[in-house]
Amino acid sequence: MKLWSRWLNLLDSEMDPRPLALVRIALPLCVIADLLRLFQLGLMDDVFTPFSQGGLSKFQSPHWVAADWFGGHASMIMLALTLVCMILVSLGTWMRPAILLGVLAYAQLGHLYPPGDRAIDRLIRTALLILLFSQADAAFSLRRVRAVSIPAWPAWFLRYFLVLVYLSAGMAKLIQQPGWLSLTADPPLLRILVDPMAARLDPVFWTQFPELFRWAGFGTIAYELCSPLLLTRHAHRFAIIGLFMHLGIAVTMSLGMFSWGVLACYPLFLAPFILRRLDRSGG
Amino acid sequence: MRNLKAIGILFAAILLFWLGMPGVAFLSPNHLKSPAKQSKFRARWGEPWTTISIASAELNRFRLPIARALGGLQPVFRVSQAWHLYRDGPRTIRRMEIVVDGERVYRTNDPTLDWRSGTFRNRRIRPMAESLTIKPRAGNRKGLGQHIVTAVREDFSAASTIQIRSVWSKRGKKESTHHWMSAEAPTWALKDHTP
Repeated sequence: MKLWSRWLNLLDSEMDPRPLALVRIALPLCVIADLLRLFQLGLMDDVFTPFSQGGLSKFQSPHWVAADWFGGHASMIMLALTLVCMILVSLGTWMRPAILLGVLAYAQLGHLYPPGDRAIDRLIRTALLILLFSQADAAFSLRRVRAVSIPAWPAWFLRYFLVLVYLSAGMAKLIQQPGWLSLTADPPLLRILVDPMAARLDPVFWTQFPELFRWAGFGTIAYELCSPLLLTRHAHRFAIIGLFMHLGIAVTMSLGMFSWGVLACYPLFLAPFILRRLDRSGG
Repeated sequence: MRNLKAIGILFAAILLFWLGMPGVAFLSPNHLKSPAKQSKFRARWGEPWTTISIASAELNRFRLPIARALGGLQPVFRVSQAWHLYRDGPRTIRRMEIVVDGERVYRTNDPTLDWRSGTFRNRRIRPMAESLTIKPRAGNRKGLGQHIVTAVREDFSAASTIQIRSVWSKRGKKESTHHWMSAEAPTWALKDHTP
C-alpha cells in the first residue's frame, strides 16, 4: 500500500510547464526542418511517391492506406497535414488534435517510404503521443490560458521512455557485440564512425587511434547502461554527458535529425539549468 | 478516478517496457535457439556472455506472443521499434561511386567528388544507397538507380554512359569494385554487373 501511495503521489506531483513546452516546440521543429531539407534537395516527389509512379522505394508498408482514401494526391496531403500539424504543435495551438492528426499523417509518410523512416522518426512520434496527454501548451504558446504549474507525470513518462531507449541501445550493443567491452578487439565505435556510408571520419587516418574509440565506446556503454540516473534528482548533471555524446554524433555522423530529435527531449533533464537561465532573463 | 488514472498510467508504462524490452526486443525469434548456434557463440565469446545471451533469447521467445497481442495499435502510429540503434559498424569499408563517361563525379564521403552529395547523404536516401552498395541486385536498387540516371542526364546533358559502382575495401587496404550498375544512351536501361 505504501508503494501505491508513493505512485499516486508521484502522479499528483506538479512541475513548471516551461521545460515540457520547450520539448513541445523543439520536437516538431526537427520534423519540419527534416522535411524542408528534402524540399530544398528537390526530393519530395522521389521520396513520397510510390515506386509504380516513379518514386524511389519499391516497397511500401501494407499500412500505407492514405492512397485508398485520397487517391493520387495522398502523399502530398499527408505531407501538408504533417507540416501544418507540426507547426500548430510548435505554436501550442490546438495542440492535442494537431498531435494526433500530425502523428497519423507522419506515420503514413513512413509507411509510404519505409527505408527512410528511421528509429528517430519513431522516437519523435512516440514522444509526441506522450505529449498528447500533457499540458505542454501551458507555456510559450499562443494559447490564451497559461498555467504556473502542470501535472508532471507526462514529463516523467517521457523521461522513462528515453531511459528505455538508452537501456535498450546499451544492452543490444553488449549482448550482440561483446567487443564493446574488450580491451583488445577492434573497437566497434571505430567501425561505426569510419563507415563512410553513415559517418564522416576518414577510415585510414582514424584507424591509427583505436584507444580513443575504445574509451569513447566504454563511455557510450556506461552512459546508456546508467541511463536510469536520468530518473533521479541528479539527472541534470548526468544529462550533460548525453548532451556532448549527441553533439559528438551530430559532428561525426550524417544521421540527419537523429541527434537533434533526441536532444529536443533534453529540456526535461536539463530543467534546473534551463529554468535558472529563463528566470534570470525573465522568460 | 485518481486510482483509475494511476492504474492506466502504470499499465501504459508496463506495456511500453514489454513492447521494447531492453536487451531482448531486438533479438530475432530464432536467436541462439539451436545447440549448435549456442556452442558456436560460446566458443567465440565464452561466459558469462553466452548464458546471458541464451537467457535473453528465451525471454524474448516468451515475450513475443504477448507483445504481438498487446501492440496491435503500433502500426497505426508506426511507433514499433526495438531501439537497438547502432550496435556495430561494418568491417568492410563500402562506398558508392558514380562515374559519368569514365569520370568519377561522386564518391561517398569524398569532398572532392561531391556531385549531389546532399542527396545521397540525406538520411532518407542513405539507407537506399547503403543497401545498393552492400548487396548486388538489392531488392530496392532500381528506384535509386533510375533517380541517378535522371539526375546525370539533367546535369551532364552530353553524357552517354553512367556507372553506379559499389567499391569495397578493408580499412587501409586497396579497394576494388564489388558490383555495379550501368546505363547507356539512348535507352538508359539499367543493367546489373558482378565481376
